[in-house]
Amino acid sequence: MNLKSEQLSDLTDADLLQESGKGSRDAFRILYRRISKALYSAAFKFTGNGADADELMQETFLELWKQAPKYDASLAQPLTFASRIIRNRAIDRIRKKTRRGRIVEDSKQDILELTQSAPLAGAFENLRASEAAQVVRKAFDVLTEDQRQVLQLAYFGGLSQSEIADRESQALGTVKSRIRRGLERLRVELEGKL
Amino acid sequence: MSRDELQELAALYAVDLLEGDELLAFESELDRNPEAKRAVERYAETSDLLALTADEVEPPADLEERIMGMTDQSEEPLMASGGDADAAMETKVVGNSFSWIPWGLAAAFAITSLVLWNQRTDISQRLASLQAEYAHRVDSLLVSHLQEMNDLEAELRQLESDGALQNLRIAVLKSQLESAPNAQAVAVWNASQQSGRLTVSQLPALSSDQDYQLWIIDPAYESPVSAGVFNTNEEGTLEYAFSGSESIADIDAFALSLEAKGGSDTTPKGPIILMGN
Repeated sequence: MNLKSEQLSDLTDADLLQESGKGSRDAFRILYRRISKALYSAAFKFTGNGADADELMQETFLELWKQAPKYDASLAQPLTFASRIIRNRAIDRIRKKTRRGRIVEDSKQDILELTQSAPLAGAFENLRASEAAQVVRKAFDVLTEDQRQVLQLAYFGGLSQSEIADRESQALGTVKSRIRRGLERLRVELEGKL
Repeated sequence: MSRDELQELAALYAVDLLEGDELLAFESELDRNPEAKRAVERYAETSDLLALTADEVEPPADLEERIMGMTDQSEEPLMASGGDADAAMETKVVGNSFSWIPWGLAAAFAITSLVLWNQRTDISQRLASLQAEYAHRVDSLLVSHLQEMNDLEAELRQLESDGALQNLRIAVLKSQLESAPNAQAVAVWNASQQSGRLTVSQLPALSSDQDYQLWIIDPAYESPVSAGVFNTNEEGTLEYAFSGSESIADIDAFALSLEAKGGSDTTPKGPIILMGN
């Protein structure tokens, strides 16, 4: 049974992706409107320009559309799910460009597996994407500047440990420690807020 | 692999920063060690959220239609089967004209299989050697830790027999945070001198507007007694000499809370990070 637009608007993001999996383009469009700003911001950060960010978004949403029939809401919220798709695709692009000789696992197959194990599944359940992004940005600001810098280089830059250490003029051990401490601190800050 | 090393590797794995032998070794650890798997899950939960730390940028207005247009094109099952049929037809035609091609492909396949088989054997040997090396390192660490514990116990027994511990209270404060399970501290309180020493390790780093605050829970007082505020270095470690803001007669427990810069005057206002007696 096809739901009407006004009924779709009342659905959660997870319900919308499930409806999309049944072929509802209206549901997918509403989901796009809810999560596209947060994802486009990430895409722009990954690529640094509008044209590549557009392309990355198109690839990501097409992948999301294709994966929708297999989507399991108990495993990850759509924004988390899509964030992982966009990151894997962006890092693939960055590493191809820099010809870094590293085997990067193909994103497509692993997206489901990687999000499966994450109890983060519940994150964003109660918040809209824009609100969730605001909460995360605020928590991220609490980290030290050094921690923020290495985490962003690792996450958005696709750099290796030694590349980050070179860029930051820091010892490898310091970079590793900052990554770990930064993630731990971010988690502490977000506990109970998402 | 020590717990600390495991946590660090798990964090790096979650942000896709492990490479080469380090990656192979950690993935092998993941296969057999549930703690490693849990650690990766925990860090991955957080690293997923990094996508949302990007500054906000509005997507172009026409992107929605372009994306919806792509979904229209993607769902064309008839076209897909037609495409397969065309491909099959093309193979057949080509097959009739160039009968040597299947043999060439078969030969290429055989050579590729042989190369892959050899690579697989190499990787298996490397993995086995890495596993043996790790097992050896773990054994060495265990032996050295055991020796260290025996020495400490002997020292403790000696101190007890000398009566030196009569006035001392030693408490291990354990983490209350799921996100920092290895954070810990040891508090040693000298009742006769009304002073103590706290050694903390692996506490999460603080921002510039925060401090950790130590509390002594003495049943003689309604509220916990503050034992001062402090911050740690980047590694989350510190040795800190403290005393109570009131005279301490008896101690039920020690607690460590996360507070705004300068600490709280009366009771803990922030979350309890460590606690123990």
